[in-house]
Amino acid sequence: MKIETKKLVYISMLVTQAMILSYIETMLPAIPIQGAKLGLANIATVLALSTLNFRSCLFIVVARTLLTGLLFGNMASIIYSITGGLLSLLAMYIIMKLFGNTLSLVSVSIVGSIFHNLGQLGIAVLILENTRLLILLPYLFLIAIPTGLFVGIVSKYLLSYLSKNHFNYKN
Amino acid sequence: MKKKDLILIGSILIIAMVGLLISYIYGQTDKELKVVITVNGEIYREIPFDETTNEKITVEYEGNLNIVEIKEGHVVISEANCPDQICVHTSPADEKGEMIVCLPNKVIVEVTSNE
Repeated sequence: MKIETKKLVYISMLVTQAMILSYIETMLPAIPIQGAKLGLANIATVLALSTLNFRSCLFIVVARTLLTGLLFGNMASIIYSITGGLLSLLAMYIIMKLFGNTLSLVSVSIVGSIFHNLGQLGIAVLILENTRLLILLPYLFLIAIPTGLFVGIVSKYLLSYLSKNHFNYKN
Repeated sequence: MKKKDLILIGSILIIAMVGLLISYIYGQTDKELKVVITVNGEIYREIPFDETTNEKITVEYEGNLNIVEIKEGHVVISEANCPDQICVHTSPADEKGEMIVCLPNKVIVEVTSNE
C-alpha cells in the first residue's frame, strides 16, 4: 500500500511538471513555424516511459493535455496538443520497445518530437482543409532535432536522479 | 549518445534536406505569381503578386483579425489578434509554395502561380 501511494504521488508529480513546463513554454518566444514547439512537456512523457508502464504514461499524457488546455487554452488547442501528445507517446513507446538497447533517450525524444509535430500538422491539414500545408514538413523535421536533443538530455539527467531514489515502476 | 543515435539524426537531416530541395524546385517558376488568402478553408481573396504589388488587406472573420501586407516583393502578416503570434513572426513569403499560417484564426496566406 505504501508503495502504491508513492507511485500515485509520482504520477501526479509528472502531470504537474508537464503542466508547469507547458505554461513556462508559453512565456518563451514561439518558434515561427506552425506546428513546431520546443515541447518541454515532453520531458514528463519521456520520464514516464522510462519509469512507468504504458497505461500510466497514457494517463499522464491525456491528463496533462486536458488540464493544460482547460487552464491556459481552448478547445482547438486541446485537439492539437492531444493529437500531438498521443502520437509522440506512441512513437516513443514503439521505438523504446524495438530499439531500447541500441538507441539512447536522445533518439527516443527526437522521434517523439517529430511525431508530435506531425500530429499537429496533420490536424492543421484536416481543420484548414489544405494539403499544401505539408510543405512545412521538412522544417518540422529539422526543428525536431534540436528540441528533441534538449528534451532527451534533460530527461537523461532527471532519470539518473530518479533511479537513484528508486522511482521505477516499470514492472 | 551512441553511434546509432548519430545515424538516426543523420537520416532525419537527409530526409529534411531532400524535402527542402523538393520545395525549392517546386518554387522555381516562370509563371505569374499570385497571393491567395484562405480563411477557414474558403478562398477569401486572390491578388496578383510581383515586385510592384503594394497592398494592405484586412482579413476579418468571426471576430478574428489579420492584416496581410504585400510590398517590395514580400508578403507578411503584419498584425493579428491571435494568441500565439506565430503568423506575425513567420519569415516573409516571396516564392511559389511559401505560406504564412495562422492556426488560431484559420488563416492561410500562400504564394502560388496561375496554372
